[in-house]
Amino acid sequence: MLGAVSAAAVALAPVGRAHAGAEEPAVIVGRVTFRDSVRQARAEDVERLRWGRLIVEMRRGWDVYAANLDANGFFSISGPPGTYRLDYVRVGQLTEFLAPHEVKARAGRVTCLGTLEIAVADLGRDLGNNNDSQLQVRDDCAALEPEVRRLANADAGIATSVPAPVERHWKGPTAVEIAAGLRAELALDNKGGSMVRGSLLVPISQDTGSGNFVAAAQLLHLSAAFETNRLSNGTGTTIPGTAKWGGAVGAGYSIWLLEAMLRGGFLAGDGPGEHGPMVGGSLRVGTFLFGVGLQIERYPSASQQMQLITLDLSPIGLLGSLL
Amino acid sequence: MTGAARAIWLPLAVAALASAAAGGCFRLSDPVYATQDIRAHEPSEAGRSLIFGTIVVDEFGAGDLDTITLAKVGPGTERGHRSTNRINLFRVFSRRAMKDGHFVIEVEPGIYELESFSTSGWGQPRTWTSKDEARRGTRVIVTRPGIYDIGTLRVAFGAVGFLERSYNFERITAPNPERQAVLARAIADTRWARVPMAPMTPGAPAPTAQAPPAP
Repeated sequence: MLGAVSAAAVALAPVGRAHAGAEEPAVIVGRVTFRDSVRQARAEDVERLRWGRLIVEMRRGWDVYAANLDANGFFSISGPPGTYRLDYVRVGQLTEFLAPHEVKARAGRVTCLGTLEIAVADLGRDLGNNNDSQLQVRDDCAALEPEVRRLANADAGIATSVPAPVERHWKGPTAVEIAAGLRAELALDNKGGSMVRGSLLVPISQDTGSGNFVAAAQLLHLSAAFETNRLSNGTGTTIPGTAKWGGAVGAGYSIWLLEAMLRGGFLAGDGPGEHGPMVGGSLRVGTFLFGVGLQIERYPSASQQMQLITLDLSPIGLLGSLL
Repeated sequence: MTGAARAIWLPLAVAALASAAAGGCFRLSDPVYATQDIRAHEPSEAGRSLIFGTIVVDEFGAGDLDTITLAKVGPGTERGHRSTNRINLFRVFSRRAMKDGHFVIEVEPGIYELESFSTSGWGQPRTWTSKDEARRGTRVIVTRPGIYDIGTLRVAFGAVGFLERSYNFERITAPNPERQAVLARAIADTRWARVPMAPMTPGAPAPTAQAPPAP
């Protein structure tokens, strides 16, 4: 079957800048096949079915290299070595987009991509209309070798390099996102006391529209006045409190205007009132700029618990919103 | 006034200032920003494309564009979004991606449709969301690296229905020297100036209805 392939079917059309380097070119050879729910079709059949030429375009940086498919779907591309990316296949005037795949082509080598099978529900209806096509890559370079060697027109060694899906990795939060996560927080307890604290909230996963995970570090501070108010409340006498400092870290999930966190930390100090290890949780409604929340902090070793209403503001966010 | 009460009022006042700023009522950078021209960022990586478009809302006091969101359709069932805006943090220190209804967005190869945009006239932000039919009319297919000029999208007041207003939507792709000058200035001295203009599919789609803007 492979021996019947027409040599004239392969056309090479580099688009964009010409390769001016003296480096030996890299050659990429592969085969594209088509399948729908009832049949497997050769390129020749698909061209008749869709009334248009089938063209593979692979991009290397800014340059695009195009090649017609022959009757059996074989194509060959010659260009400078580097990483080539396949995003779509031309179907006459239409374009069928595929999950992006990349392959590395080395200088002076023939790179066999194997068979790229494009599957749609109905070839006559869907191909070129982007109705949920699937791309499957099959490493059958051993079987394709005679044809690959003929198309590459060289006795050079053939390297098998099946295209791999391009995975987009989240690069992490930007400097502005991190800076805007710095919050000044006013916390009010259920006994009328208030205190000022600070926290830093950083996104730790990408928000793809359904929220993202966040991590937080919090500076805990209970002022002497706040502690005195808490300890004295309802006793009729003034019990002097001392200022306490501590820290906490936490993680949670943020979606739309809601943010839920679990925290753990430690508050230094001894005597009456809150101190020692802390576990807590919070629920906040707001934007990156400001918000309102509820916090519960429990100090098991001191058998104390605080319920707090918090108002927070991002100073960097405010400055950024004004500039 | 107790210490606690004072401690509440100060953050509340700051929060009110923040709300006003976030709501687009004013920004300290407004006088400087008004003089900045639309200008594309350098491509984030080789092989990207730039979509250039214009949105005109034919309604008194509609205001200038604040945000544009394009939906990326596919490949397969995948859906994503690409957006740009003029209300970002520290905007005065970065290049301006939209002005006077014109906008530029960097994209990778794929199929894009206008999903929504927002405007703020007289300090009142409004979000305009495209219905499916209107979205398809804005479709742009990005293949080779290039500048894709999707033309002018004109939104005009249409019929009034029960509890809703509909808007007619028209896409104008005829060449416009004024827009071409805006694009030329936007990409001047950037890598985009060496990227070819992509041929666009001729013919504007038929006018379609658009959903009423959210208050």
